[in-house]
Amino acid sequence: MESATKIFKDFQDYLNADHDLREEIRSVVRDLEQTAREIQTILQAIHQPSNASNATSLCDQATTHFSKVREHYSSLAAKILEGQYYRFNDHWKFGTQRLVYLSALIVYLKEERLASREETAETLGVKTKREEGFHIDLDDYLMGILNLTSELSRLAMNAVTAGDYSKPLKISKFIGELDSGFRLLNLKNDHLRKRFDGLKYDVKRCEEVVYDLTIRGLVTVEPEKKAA
Amino acid sequence: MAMTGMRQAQHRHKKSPQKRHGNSPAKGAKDQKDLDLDESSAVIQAFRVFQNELDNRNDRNERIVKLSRDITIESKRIIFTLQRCVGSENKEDVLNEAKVKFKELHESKFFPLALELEGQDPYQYLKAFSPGLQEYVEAITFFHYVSGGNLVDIERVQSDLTFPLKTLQSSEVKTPTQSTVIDKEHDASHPINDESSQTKSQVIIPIPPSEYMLGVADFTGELMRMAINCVGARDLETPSVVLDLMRVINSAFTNFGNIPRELRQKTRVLTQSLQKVERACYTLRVRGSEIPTHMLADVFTTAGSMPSYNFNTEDMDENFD
Repeated sequence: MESATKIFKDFQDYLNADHDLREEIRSVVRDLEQTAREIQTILQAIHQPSNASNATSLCDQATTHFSKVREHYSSLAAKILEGQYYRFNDHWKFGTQRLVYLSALIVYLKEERLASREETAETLGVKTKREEGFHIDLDDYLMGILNLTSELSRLAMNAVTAGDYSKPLKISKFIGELDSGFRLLNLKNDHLRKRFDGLKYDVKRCEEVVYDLTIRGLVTVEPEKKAA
Repeated sequence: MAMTGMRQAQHRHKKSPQKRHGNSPAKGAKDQKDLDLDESSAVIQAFRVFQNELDNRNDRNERIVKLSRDITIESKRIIFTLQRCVGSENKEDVLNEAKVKFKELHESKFFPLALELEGQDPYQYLKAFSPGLQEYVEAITFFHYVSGGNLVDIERVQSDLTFPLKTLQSSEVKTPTQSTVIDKEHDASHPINDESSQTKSQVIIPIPPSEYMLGVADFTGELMRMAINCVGARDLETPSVVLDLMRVINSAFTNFGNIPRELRQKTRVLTQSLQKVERACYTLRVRGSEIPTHMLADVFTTAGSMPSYNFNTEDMDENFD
């Protein structure tokens, strides 16, 4: 029975250590999510008609906050032992998804292209691959990109309101391309799959905007863009 | 009527694809190419990489789930074997039989599982192999209890699930099925994995302490069954010995702080099993004097079944896993 007592004492120690570590992780993740919200607030201004032209300066302003993000991630990474990323992954999942979306939004606004997983990881100050250490989980990256499509389909509408008729066409083409990209993936019946099922509504919303513009002759669609 | 209807349907089926082809051959094909198969696009190239990564991960997950299921089934069988110890004349034979089964289980299921986990983050796949692992911990704890009367510690269980790579080569020669598993592993995994498995001297299935403890919680269910069976076999000593250990475990479990939810649920079941055995011991004391021993067994199987209702539902849930 003495051995049993030791077994249970060891386990209690393990539970306590686990609990303490999770508390520490939670506190860092709280800061991380706070920073993400600040960035989000800055970038929300892109929907304002008055800001339609100075998206670049908004992006620059938002980009400065990513130095804080990198600090948070490095203190988070320091707490996680090798091979235990997925033990605690649930804590920062949503924060990471949101930050992927925000950094990908900045890249799109500036260069009208998809932010690769590598450069997103760099912006966040984490690794790309699991083998290299604290990384972006592929699911979280893809979730972030799916959040981006929702935001862009909203931007397509608001761009029209602001008098920018060319942006919706580009966004529609971009989302269409992402849609065919996601169709390549054999998704299991999980949260990513559910979120992906919502992508078609983003595609549809963009197509409707393009349709509205085209039918009123507000834009002339060039032949090669017809497919999009 | 039905026949003509069917014919018409067939006719339509045959016709429709032709029609589609005839109507818009150029446009349909072009749409496909532009939207789905533009391999030069950076987006598509990136998603090809993701596709490959997701497929690899899902395949590995699937293989692990399969192994876990096999481990669950085999562990349950071993537990049944061990329950036969009770009242058996040749306890040693039963223990040896269990030992052989464990060895077989280690070689044919756990070793391939360890190879799947090699170079991975085991927590990423924990959900896939946790049911099997817990059932195994239950079986091995029960085995050690029956043979030694003690609760086995996690280090001992872990050492059984650690495979030096020398046995890898020898068992490769022994069983052809395993070598095919290894070949598959090498094909599917990244080159990085191959390098690390070459430099490492052993592969292990890491047992998270909470998984071990969940297995121990299930083991108390077996203790209860054993105690009740003992009475059936007219062994009136064992239930009180078993009860001692159950009390130790129960008081430890109820004292745990910061306890995960899954373990809290099992603690409730444990308390119920404990009370069931306590009730049996009580009945034994009170009525033991008035009932002949061979009739006592019937008393317990009926007296025990009433408060065990919750326990049984829990047990059914377990079987659905």
